[in-house]
Amino acid sequence: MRSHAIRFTNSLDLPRAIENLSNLEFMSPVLHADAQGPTWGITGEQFLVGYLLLAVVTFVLIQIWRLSKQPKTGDTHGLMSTEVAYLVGGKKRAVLAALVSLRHQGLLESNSHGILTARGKLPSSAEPLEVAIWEIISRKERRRVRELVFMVSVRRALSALEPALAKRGLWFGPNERKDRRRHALLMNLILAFGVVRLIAGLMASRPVLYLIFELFLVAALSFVLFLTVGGRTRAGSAYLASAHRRYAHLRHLSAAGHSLYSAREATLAVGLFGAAAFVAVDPTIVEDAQLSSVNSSGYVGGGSTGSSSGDSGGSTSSGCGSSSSCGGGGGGGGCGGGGCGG
Amino acid sequence: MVVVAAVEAVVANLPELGVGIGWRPDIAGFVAELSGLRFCELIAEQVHSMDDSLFHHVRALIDRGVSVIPHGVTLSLGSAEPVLAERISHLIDAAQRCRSPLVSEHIAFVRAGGLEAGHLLPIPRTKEALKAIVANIHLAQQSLPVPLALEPIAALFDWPEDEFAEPDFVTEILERTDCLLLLDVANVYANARNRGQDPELVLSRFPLERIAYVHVAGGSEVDGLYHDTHTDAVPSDVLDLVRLVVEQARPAGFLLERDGNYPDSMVLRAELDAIAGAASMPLVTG
Repeated sequence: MRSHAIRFTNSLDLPRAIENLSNLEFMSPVLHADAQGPTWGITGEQFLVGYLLLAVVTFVLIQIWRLSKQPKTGDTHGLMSTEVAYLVGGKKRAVLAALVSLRHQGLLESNSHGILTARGKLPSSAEPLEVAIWEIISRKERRRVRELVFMVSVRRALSALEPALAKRGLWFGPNERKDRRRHALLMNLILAFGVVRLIAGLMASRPVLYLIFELFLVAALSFVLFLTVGGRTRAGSAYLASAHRRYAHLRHLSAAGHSLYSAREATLAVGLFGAAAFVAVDPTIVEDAQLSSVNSSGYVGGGSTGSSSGDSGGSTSSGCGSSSSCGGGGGGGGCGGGGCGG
Repeated sequence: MVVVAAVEAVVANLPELGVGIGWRPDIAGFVAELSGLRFCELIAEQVHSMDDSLFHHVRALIDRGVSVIPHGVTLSLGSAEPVLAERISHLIDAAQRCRSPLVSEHIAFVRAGGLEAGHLLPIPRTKEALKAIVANIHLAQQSLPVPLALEPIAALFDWPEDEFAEPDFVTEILERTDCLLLLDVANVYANARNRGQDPELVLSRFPLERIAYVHVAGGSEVDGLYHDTHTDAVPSDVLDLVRLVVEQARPAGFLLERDGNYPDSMVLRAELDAIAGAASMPLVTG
């Protein structure tokens, strides 16, 4: 009857297992136990149902746990505009926001080649990232945006943004990320358990197609959990949603209108709604800031030129975990490049 | 005389508009903060393409009692061919959406023989052109639910076949159609200056009793010609014309048109205050 079926009795033979998988009759989704009885004494049907239930319930529980650990609101009093920009689009957006702010206040000029020159005197209200950038430019002529992000003081100011946001409850801090990752690992255990069952099934020449489908699903759930380990908290997203409403009048700001608004508003316009409004004011700065390789760690993606980035709350943007290095270039939020968390 | 009295009644029935500003997406935040504002203008053709995130700013103004007047630019009343029904219905839609007390358009054409000029062109001031524009205005008036105010444009050239002086031509049109006048003092200034005429004399020859509201705008001189740019500051000569209008008539409102190159908000506020001062109207900047 099962003329093509091959039994593994001694050891796992992967090439043959794959051969088995491609065997049409073997791939038949019809589940039936053979004379030896079901694997581990649980029929395929029972296992599929139980396993799916386990995975989904675990996923839901982890999400509930994650939500319950997050305060609904954070401390947004006196939030700096570079912090808002970081919250939306990470380091690139923060650098761009600082440049917009400096330029709007007449503290910075740039020529068509992207060479920056510092002007005037920094006001006491300048934000640390602005101070770091302005001081570097004022110390030496002929600085470019791309160079800025390699400067120690700029990197220090940038890496201070995340802890500051975490302190306010708008961003996941290292401890929270650790906790969240640990719970995401639970999903990996479930995945591993499924893989063991798959191997056992293969060794016993059982049909495993549906199990493979379920394993893909569990892998996807696990991926989602890892993808959302870091980034904005619920409070961070809620703040952005409210900021989008409060500053809605800046959404359609174009180059012509920049001077009508304060430096903070012009900066927030870029931070919240993207560089579109600023491109015509200073295309070189925007282009340079987008190209700069600023994603050294932590948050990735964000800051796509021209998009009025629609992260108005809902989705949590991803942080890739502190050690991963994902390519940027995605739209606001989300892990560009797709190599995250795995 | 009876007709003039009827038009004056329409003018008198307009709400007190005061000093206003042409609403543009760029200045949405600036306009929203003008606490004393009672009217603004919206480019009528933009109303259709506005998504909700944009129109929501306009709606907020309407809800706080600001009169929003759709200002059409593509009706092309001055074309020889009949004005397009579709464009009239767009203007009507805009008026209804903005709950407007009136709408305005230009005495100009923007298309001819199927070609779109892309900007407002002067019509030859001849009897034939007069007949054509009056027919087009009548066509538009048939379905417009609110009064129509017409604006003479700033033109950088005149047609050789012109039979009327501009104020006389405008008067003819308005008398034959019972339309209101949207007088742009910056256009009057630009045309008079470029034609070598005295702006104050020209202004006085317009049918000022028909004015619904007045446009005020800035411009600059390029190669000996004054351009009505809407991107420069309002010259003091134009403000003088505002004073002159107020001496001779009582328009419902004065509106600053600014289309780009916006200055610092304090500068723009000061410009609105200067117009209010010249028009003897309350400040809107609060």
